[in-house]
This record gives sequence, structure tokens and C-alpha cells, in this order.
Amino acid sequence: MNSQAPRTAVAPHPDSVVPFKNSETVLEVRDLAVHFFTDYGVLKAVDGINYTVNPGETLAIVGESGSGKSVGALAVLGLVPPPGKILSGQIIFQGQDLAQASEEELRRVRGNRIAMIFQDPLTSLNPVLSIGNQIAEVIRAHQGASRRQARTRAVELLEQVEIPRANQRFGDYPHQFSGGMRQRVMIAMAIALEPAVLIADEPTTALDVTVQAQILDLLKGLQLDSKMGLILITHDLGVVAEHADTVAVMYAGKVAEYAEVANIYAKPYHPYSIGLLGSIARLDQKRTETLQTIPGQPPSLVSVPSGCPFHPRCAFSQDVCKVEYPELLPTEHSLRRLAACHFAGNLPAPRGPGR
Amino acid sequence: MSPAVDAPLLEVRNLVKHFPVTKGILFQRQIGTVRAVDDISLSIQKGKTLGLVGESGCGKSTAARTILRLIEPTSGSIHFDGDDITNYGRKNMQTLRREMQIVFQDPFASLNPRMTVQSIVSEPLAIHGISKNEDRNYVPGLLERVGLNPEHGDRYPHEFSGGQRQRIGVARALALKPRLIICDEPVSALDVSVQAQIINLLMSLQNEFGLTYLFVAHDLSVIRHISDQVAVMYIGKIVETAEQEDLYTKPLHPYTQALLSAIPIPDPDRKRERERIILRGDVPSPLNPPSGCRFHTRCFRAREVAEGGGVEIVAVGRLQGQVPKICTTEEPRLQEHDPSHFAACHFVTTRKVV
Repeated sequence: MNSQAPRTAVAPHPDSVVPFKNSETVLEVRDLAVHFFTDYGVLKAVDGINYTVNPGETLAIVGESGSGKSVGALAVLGLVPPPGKILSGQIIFQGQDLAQASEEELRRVRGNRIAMIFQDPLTSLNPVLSIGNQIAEVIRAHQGASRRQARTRAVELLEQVEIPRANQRFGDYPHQFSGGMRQRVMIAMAIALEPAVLIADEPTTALDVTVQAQILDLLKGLQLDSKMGLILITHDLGVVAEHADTVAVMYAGKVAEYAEVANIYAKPYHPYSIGLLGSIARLDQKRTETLQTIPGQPPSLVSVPSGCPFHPRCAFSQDVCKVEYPELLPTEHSLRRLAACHFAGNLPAPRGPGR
Repeated sequence: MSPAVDAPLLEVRNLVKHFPVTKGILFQRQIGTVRAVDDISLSIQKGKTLGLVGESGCGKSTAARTILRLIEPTSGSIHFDGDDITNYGRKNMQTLRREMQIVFQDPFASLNPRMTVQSIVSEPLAIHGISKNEDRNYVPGLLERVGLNPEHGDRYPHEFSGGQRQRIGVARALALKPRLIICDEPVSALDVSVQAQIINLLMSLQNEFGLTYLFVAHDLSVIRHISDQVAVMYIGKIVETAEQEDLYTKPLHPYTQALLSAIPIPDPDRKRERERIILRGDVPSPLNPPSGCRFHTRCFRAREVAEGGGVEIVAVGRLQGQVPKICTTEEPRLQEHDPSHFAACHFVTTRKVV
């Protein structure tokens, strides 16, 4: 079995054929690399990733901590903190390359055409301003509305995110709201300017499941109304299954697999996706004695393993995996089904499963 | 109670923990009470796992800590292996703590950054004056058993990843060979692939050493995987308790049903067939819990019953609709509806949600 031949390369990522791209595509990230130049060495947080966001669709970016899933999104907004730098690649938003844009140009896009919500709404809201004024400020800053207009619009937005008694709660401060309500306030602020793309970075991780269901439901509803493209960054594969259309699985700064949600759950190609799906305790399946595990830990981004970054933990790895990085290429001859594995669709026999 | 063939290792009866809320600096007045744990009873058989599940603020961690008497209970009693330990003094308690250990949620905060792994794991032995530390292979053996390199005993916690640190926490809890381990959200800070490693470790240790677990978590999928028995808490009360399989296949309490239906299932084909119950609002504050059934402010079942007619109904709040009057006036008792399946609801029905 060890004589398994690696897949033959299809085309080396032709520029003209971008996965999931269509005539309406709003955001395209191409070969993006973001590195942090630290005292300990160069940390390759994002190392050549590609994805596409279409209107009204949800792209989930899945990965474990340190996989680079948040940094990639921050780069889209030009918010990579120093010592991080966008090293190469393009971020094409409505025809404009944000990777090359000036700070001034970025400011016009940020919060306006592309908005973002974060995991912890308490640290993202100003504690000494009422929530109503914080929302109104966004509207006034970007649209030059009068105080009165801004207030009316802010109340409308609070109603839209289903905050009860929106008019009375306009003057309340963040600490007077629960976690779920604060996240609604953040969403109201993010959608205030009707962005074309909303980036949600672990929006429900800090919330209880019953509240998580409310927030995801709300986002879905808003998206139906506005045709907004959503990038949902999460580690929860259940959330992805229920709310996303396409999914990019990230590992060690690279996209390991990129596909439509229905396909990847039915048949994951990359051994990391296979392992990830196997390692979750699930409500819908018979309980087994032991969960499958992926041995070892995710690598440090300062010293990413050579070749395929997953090879030290991979039950299927061969010699070629140690030396040559497998590009993210179409499988099944489809540009909607990509995997970065030398043996995608043709895995050799594992060396002792779940070791 | 049936005559105990297998006596429970841990039994908790009518446990209550209230925290006073005071105002003023010099003359402190009590202005309220946080009813963190409000009359709960539970028991765990030897070698079994009880999963205690609930949302944040429901009192599950307070319950766990009160059982260890890290927090003193307001009232109620705690029995360990047949002995009432509620009023044990310092000395008795210290001896007893050999038998009951805890693993905490945050493996970053619960390990002293200035101590080596060797000294963290052997500290309980030193505290209890046990000479196992004369056996130089004891701690390395433990480290190896929990899946760490035994040669890493002289490293410090910061040199390890989250999952490895949690293994150190488990090794520390095991050092005294306890009979009961309370696991307070031991995997919720970890990545999924690492969660599975720790869960597998805890389960194999249970088999090997005959350990009894009280497993506190908010994640119902994890709880299902590890538990024999499950208790669901809502604002300081247990609302439902059953054998693991029964709770998941035929949940009786509307809160359990909502909680289960809110869990996203990693299967895109399933989402269309599943009934989703989306609860309105947030968990009310335990400082001022709703009257009657504490769940009535968010309960879909109460609204269903009210709509169906035939019961006296009352309006609750401005936007919260109508519920049967009894839900707002009378607290439902935890009653046995099926064999060893208890639920506290006036209008119990079963519903398939998973």
C-alpha cells in the first residue's frame, strides 16, 4: 500500500479560474500571506490563503487556535497589528485591492463596506458611552447624518436586532446588557451602514447555546434581507454545518480544504478535516467508547513543519509529505471541491488508526 | 429510595448555597441574596460519572465547589461513602481531601507558573505527608500515565500547550489516588481535537482506577459522551435528571429540550429535519429568580399549554405572552415520570429534539 502514487497535479492554480468565484463575487482573497516579525523569529500566521465571498452566502473559516483564521480576516480590514505585515497577495473587494490601499482608503471601507464583529462584545464596546450613542456615532461619522436622524436610525437598528424596548434602551450602557444582548448591539453597529461583507470572528463562542442559537438565527435573517456576504470564523463544526454554505478549513496558516459544506461533511478529503470531524462528541450518533483523536498538538507557527504542515500528526503521511507542500487543488475535477493533500481522494492505508 | 445494593460514593441532599449581596462599607446591609444553588439533591454510584450541565450562572460550578467544601454550604448535607461530611472540621476535612480532588477549567490559571511540573504534581503528596515521593519513579510514572513525557518533570507550565497543561492538572488530581474527582469544565478551554484526547484520557483513567466523576460542563455533547447519569440545572435548581440515554432520547423538561435542540449538529443534511426551539431572552438573574417555575419566563411549553386552553392563564410581562397560572405561582417538584427519570415541570411531555 505504501507504493501509493501521489495525485497528479491538475493546473497550478490558474489565475483566471478562482474557486467559487462568480460574476457577483464581492471579496476575493488571493495568495494572502501575513507574517509577524517577532523576536523569536518569523511567525507565519497566514501563509498563502485563497477564498471567495459571494453576496448572501456564508463562508465559514474553521480552524483551531493558532491556525491563522482570525489574522486572515483582520488583514482584509487592514487591521493586522504590528509586528505583523501583509507580505504578499491580493484582497480584492469590489474591484479594489485592499492589500495595496492607503490607510485613508481603508478607513472608508472599514466599518462601512466591510464590517466586523468580535468574540467578546464587552471589550469591543466603549463602557462609558451609551450603546445608542455608540451606534449613532457610526452613522454620523460615515454618513454625516444629523444627531436626530442618527438617533432615529439607531433605534431602528436596535429593533432590527430584536432588542426589546429599543427606544428606552437607547441610553443604556454596555454593562446593563447581558452577553447575548451586547452581541446584538455589536451586530446593530456592524450593519448600520449596510456593509457588503460582514466578518464575524467567533461571534457566539462566549455565549450559551440557547443564546448562540438566537444570534445565529438573527444573522441568518439579516443576511436574507440584505444579501450581505458573511465570513464566519469559528471552531465549532456544528455551527458550520447549520449556518454556512462554503467552508475553508485552516491548518497552520494554510487552507487545508475548501469546499461546499454539504460535500465536506459527507466526504472530507484532507486527513485533518477527517480527524477534526471524527474527534467531536456528537449528539446525533451512537455513543462510542473512545473518541477518535488527532495525535499531538498543532505546530508553533514559528517553526511550521516542512512539506505538508500536517504530516507529523497525519496517520497517512508518506515520504513526499515531508518534503513537498501539497498545493490546494481541485479534487473531483471541481473548482468547488479543493484539498491540499498529496493523496486527496486516494489515501494510503493508515499506520494504526487514531494512534 | 431503593435499598442500596451499590451504595453511592457521593450523596448530596437539599444542598443550598446563598451568597448575600451587601451595600455600604462600614455598616453593611444585606440588600439581596444570590440563590446560586437552591436545594439540589444528587448521588453518584461508585465508578460512575454524573454529568452536571447548565448555562453560565446556573450554579453548577458553585455546586461542585460546595460539595468539596471549598465553599461552605448554607444548608443541606453532603455524604461521602456513607459519612456525613457537612460538619467535618479542618482536620477531618484534610484527611478526606485525599479522597476527593478537582480538575479546573483553565489550565493556565490553575497551575503555579513558578513551580516545575514535578513539584506541582508531587505537592499534594507533600501536603498530606505521604512518602510516595520517596519512590522516585512515582511522579514520572504518573506523568507517563497521563500522556506526558516523564522526562519533562523539570519543565515549567508555560512550556506546555493547553492540552498538555490539562494533563498536568489531571496528574496532580490523581497523585493522591482519590476516589472522587470533580471535573469543572475540564475541556471547554481546549481545541476540539485536544478535547477528544483529554476526554479519552479521563475515561480510560476511570476504568483503570475505578474513579468516580462529577463532571461539570455546559457542553451537552461532551456530557453525553462521558456520563452515565445527567442532571440539568437552571438558575440554582435541578430541572431534570436521568440516565444518559433517556435524557437524550426522550427529554421531559422543556428547558432540556430547548438546550438539546440549540446544539448545532455537524451534519448539514440533518438541519432540515430537526425541530429547532429558539428560546427568547436570556437566563434571568439568580438574584431575583422568577416566581413559581423559574423557567416560565422563557418556556415555550407553558405558552403552548396556555394556548391550548383548559387551564387558568395569566399574562407575563409585556412581550412574554401568556402562561398557565400555576407556572407562576407554584414551583414544580422534581418528580419521577419514568423509572429513574425525574423532571420538575407542571406540564411534562416528551419531545424528540436530537
